[in-house]
Amino acid sequence: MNKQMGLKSIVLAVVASFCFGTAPAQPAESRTRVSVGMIGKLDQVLIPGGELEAQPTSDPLAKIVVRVAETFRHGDAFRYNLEFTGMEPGRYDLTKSLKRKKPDEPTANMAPIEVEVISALPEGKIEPSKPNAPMIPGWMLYWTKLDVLVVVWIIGLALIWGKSKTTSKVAAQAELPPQTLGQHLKPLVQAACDGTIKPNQRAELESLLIQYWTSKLELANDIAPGLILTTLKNHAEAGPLILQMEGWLHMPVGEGMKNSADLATLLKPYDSISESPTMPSIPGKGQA
Amino acid sequence: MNTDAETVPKPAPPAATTDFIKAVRARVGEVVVGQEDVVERLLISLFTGGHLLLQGVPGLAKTLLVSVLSKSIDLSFSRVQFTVDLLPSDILGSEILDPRTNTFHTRKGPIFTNLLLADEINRAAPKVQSALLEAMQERRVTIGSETFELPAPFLVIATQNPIEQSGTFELPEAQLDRFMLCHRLSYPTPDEEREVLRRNTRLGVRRQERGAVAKSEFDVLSHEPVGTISDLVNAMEAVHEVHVSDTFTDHVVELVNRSRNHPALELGCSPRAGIALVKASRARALIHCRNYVTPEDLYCLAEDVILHRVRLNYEALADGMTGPKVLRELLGPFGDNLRHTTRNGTAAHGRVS
Repeated sequence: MNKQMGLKSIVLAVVASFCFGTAPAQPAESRTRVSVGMIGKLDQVLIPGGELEAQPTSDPLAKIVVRVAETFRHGDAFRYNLEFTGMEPGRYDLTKSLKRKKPDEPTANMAPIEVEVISALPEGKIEPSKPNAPMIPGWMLYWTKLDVLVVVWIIGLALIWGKSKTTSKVAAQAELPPQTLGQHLKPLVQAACDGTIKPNQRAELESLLIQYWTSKLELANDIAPGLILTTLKNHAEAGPLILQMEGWLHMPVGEGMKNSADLATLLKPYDSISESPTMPSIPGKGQA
Repeated sequence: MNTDAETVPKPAPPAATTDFIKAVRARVGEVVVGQEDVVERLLISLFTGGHLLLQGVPGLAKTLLVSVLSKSIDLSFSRVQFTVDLLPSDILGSEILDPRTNTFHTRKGPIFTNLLLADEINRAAPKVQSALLEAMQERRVTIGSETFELPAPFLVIATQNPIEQSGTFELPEAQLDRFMLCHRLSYPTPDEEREVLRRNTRLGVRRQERGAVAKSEFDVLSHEPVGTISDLVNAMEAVHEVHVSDTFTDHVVELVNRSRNHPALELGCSPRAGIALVKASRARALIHCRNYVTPEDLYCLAEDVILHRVRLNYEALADGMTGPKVLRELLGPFGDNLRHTTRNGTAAHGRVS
C-alpha cells in the first residue's frame, strides 16, 4: 500500500516538474519590449538610493505611464516591481517617470531603465486593416437569403389569397342560394298552384307566407310572437290565405281538402312576387 | 294539392270536454281577473301532465289561481313555500317512530296531492330541488324502503321570482327541462287592474268567533267544483285525439333544430322540447275547440316551451341579445337558405314596402 502511494507521488512530482519546472524563463528583452497600449512588467528591479515612487502626471497625452506595483527593501537600496504602459511607439527611460519619496534625495545618479514600445501596425499605418473579404458567395449571405425568403413568402401568400378568392367566388356563383323571401316563395307558390309541391316543402311555404305577411304588416318587432298569427288571421288580405293554408295543411283529411281550389286562387298572386329584398306589394292588391 | 293520405279523420272535440273547459275558465274568471294566458297554460299542463314553472313578481295571484283551479275540478291541492332550510323529507315525507308500538310508520309529505304549488322553488337547496324534480319525472316517491305512487293527476306548479336573486339556487338546465312550460307572468292591464280593485273593495270582513278578519279572494272561492276528475281524464284523452299534421311536425323539427344551430345560443332545445311543443299545442288546440293543431299554437307556446330550455352564449349577452329576440329569429323564415342568411344577420327580416 505504502509502496503504491510512493510511486504515485513520484509520478506526480515528475509531471509537475515537466509542466511547471521546465517552463523557459521570459527573456529580459521581451520584458522591456511591449506593444502600444499593453502593460509591461519589470520585476525585482534593484535601484540604489532612497525609496522611489511614480511621478504623478496630469497630462492626458503622456506617451508612457509608469506605476510602482510593489516595493521591497534591499539593504540600503530598494527593489521594485514596475508596470508601464506605452501610448506611442518609441524608447523610454522609466527612471524619468520616477521620483524619490524624500524630495531632497537626488535622482541623477540612477542608471536608466530603458524599455521599448513597439507598434503592431506597419510603419505609417495608424488604423487597423479591414477584415478580409468573405469566402462565401454573396447569394449565400444571411441578409440576402432572408430577402429572398420574404419575397417568396409574399408571392406565395398572394397566390394562395388569389386562388382562394377565385375558388370561393366560383363556389358562390355555383351554389348561390336564393337570398330573398321572394326568391324562396316564388317556386313554392308555383308548385303549390300546380299541385306538384312536395310534402316536405309545405311547411316551408306556410312559414314563408307567414313571414311575408309579418314583414309586410311590420309585425315582427311590434307584437309578441303568440299574437302574430292571430293578427294575420284577422287581417282582411292575409286572413283568408292563412286560414285556407291552415285548412289545407293542418286539418284532418276530409275537412281541409274541400277548398283546395280556392287556395290555388289565393296563392296565384304570390306567383308574381318580387324577388328583391324589399318586396313590393302583390300585384292587384292594395298596400297594407 | 294533396294532403296526407295516411291521416285518419278525427272527430271534433267532444262537446262535454269543451263545456268542461269553458266552465273551468269561467269559474277561474270569477275570482281571478285577466291572466287568460296563465289559465290556459295551467289547463295545458293539467291536460298533458306536464309541469309548469311560473316566473313573476309576487302579488300576481299565482297561488289564488292554482287554488281556484284545484277547487274547480275537485283536485287536492298543497302549497309548499320553499326556503333554504327545507329538507327533502319536508316535501316527500318520512318514517316516524311510533313510541307506543315501537315501529316506524310512514308520514307522507305534501307532494302526495294532485296539484302542488312549489312557491319560490329557487330558494330551496339543490338537494330539495332534485328530490322534487325526480318525483316529478318518475311520479313516484321512495320513503325509507317503500315506494309510493303519486296520485293521478299529479301536477307541479312552481314559481320563481325573477327579480330577487340573492340567496337563491338557480335551477340548472337539466332540471328546467323537466318543466314542460315556463310562463312569464305580466302585470294586469289597466282595465284588469281596475276590476281587481273594484272586486277587492266589495270583499268586506268575515266574522270569526268574537272578532273579524278582512276577507281575501280565497274567502270567496266557491267550493262547488264545476267538473270532476273524470271530466279531466276525458279532456286528457281528448288531447290525444287532436290531429297533428306532418307539416306541423316539420315546423316543430325545424324550430328545435334552429335552436341547436343558432349562433347566439350556447345550448339548444332537447328532443323533450319538441315533444313538449307538440303535446302543449294539442292541448291548446283542444282548449280552443279545435281538433287539429296549427302554427298559431306553435307561435303562442314557443316562448313558454323553448326559452327556459336554451341558454344564450357570452357573445350574445355582450351584444345585448335577449331570449325573446332570439326566439323571433328562430320563428323567422323557414328553409335552409334563409336560415343561413338569418345566421349571418342579413336579409332575414326584409321589410315590405
